[in-house]
Amino acid sequence: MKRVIMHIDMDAYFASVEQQTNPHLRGKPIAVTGAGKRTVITCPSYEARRYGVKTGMNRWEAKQLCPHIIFIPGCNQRYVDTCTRLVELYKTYTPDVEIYSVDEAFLDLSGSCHLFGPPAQVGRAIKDQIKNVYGITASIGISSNKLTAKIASDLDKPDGLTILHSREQIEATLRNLPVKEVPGIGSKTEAALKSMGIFTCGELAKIPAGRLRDRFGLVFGEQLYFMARGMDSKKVVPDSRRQPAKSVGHSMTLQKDVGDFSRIQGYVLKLSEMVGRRLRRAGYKGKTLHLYVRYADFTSFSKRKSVKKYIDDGLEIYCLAMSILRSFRLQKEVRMVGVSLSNLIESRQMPLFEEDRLQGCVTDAVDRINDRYGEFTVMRGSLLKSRETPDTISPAWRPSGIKRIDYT
Amino acid sequence: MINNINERVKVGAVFGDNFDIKPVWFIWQNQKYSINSITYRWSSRKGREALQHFSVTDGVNLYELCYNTGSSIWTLAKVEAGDG
Repeated sequence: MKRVIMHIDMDAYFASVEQQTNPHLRGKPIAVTGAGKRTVITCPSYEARRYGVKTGMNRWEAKQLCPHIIFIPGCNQRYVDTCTRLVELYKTYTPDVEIYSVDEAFLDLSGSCHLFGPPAQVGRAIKDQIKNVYGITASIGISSNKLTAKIASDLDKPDGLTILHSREQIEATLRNLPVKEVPGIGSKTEAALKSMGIFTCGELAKIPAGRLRDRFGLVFGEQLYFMARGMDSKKVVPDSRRQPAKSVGHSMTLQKDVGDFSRIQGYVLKLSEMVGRRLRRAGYKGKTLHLYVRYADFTSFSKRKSVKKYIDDGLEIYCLAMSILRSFRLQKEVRMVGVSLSNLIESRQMPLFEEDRLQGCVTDAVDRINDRYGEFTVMRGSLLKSRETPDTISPAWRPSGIKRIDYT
Repeated sequence: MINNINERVKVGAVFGDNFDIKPVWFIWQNQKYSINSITYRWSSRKGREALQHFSVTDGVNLYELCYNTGSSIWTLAKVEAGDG
């Protein structure tokens, strides 16, 4: 059966949702930002992009390029709920839907084309339904594999529908395509290729596999060889068939740089509680903690520590994180903190010791109250003053399972 | 400018097929506001409670109404004055 892979990419997703929500913003240059004071642009509208405003810029930079730009704090609830509903729409065409990010998805239509008509017809139907129901647009690429489908969706943005059917079409598209436009080739690889005199996929395709393996290693060198030719055998993997998560973590960019150790402890406690909560909800425990700290000057450090016992309690995670933090002498003010737990197992076994069982009862009771009335309804007293929460959607976010996060 | 209100309000709404809810008017501080259009809708959860959010306009200002499907209570969450 010939593979038919569709890549759906929402156009300026966050900004489009905000412009649809508020008619006064339509047609104007806007930029969606995080909720915190110290935040960057997460999504500029197409009107703002015409001025050169890009994702990742800070407000000052954006204002220099577009003095009349309007900044809108993002509403993550809207974006994740819309994504969840869009995925349900996609699943009416095929069960093989892979959520690539909150605004991108892959569909494998190979087994369902005979039910819904030609791929182009399915693409147009999906675009029309998104426009009619949500008032926003998507660009769709259709091809024989994930790589070329994703390249195709980018060729005619916004509101595009591009099909790369044949080998000849794929080769013609890739011939002059800058290497940085290929998914999987980042800025470091681009720079390395440029130093070899390679600027386009066509030029990359002329390099023998052996030379690429020598320069980029056996695995990545081989991948580059096939990517240059638009070849990709990776399957569309729905969440139900994904490998279980290898780690669970949360990080937070602080509203202001913090040098006070007791305040940093508070943030570590909050993040540890959030990690514990997600682990327990998904039925996992872990035993390797990874603490990450970024200083105000953007230097950073991180360290791992493992324990013998598998844990899922926020306080135990916190104690482990603090044992790492105390082993460092914080030299500068802290900008960002991250806590994650890996080496996960499913937590089926009852605790052996009475003390652990009692602690488990308390945690279970707190979880049930928070399930009923909302996150942090009951919390440790030292977190009462802590209002800050992570305010960006993780690239790993999914609408269900261990990677689901409820945003307020 | 967005103002957070979070006040309980009386809302007239049509409950259609497939759990479709369409607010038509609301009364806030003794004034009745007729809804011209629903510009966006989304759901969220607070604990076990499912909340339906509606961004609506009366043609001038933008309002966010929130319906708690468990308690059947409507709240005016936010108001944003229009350019007009």
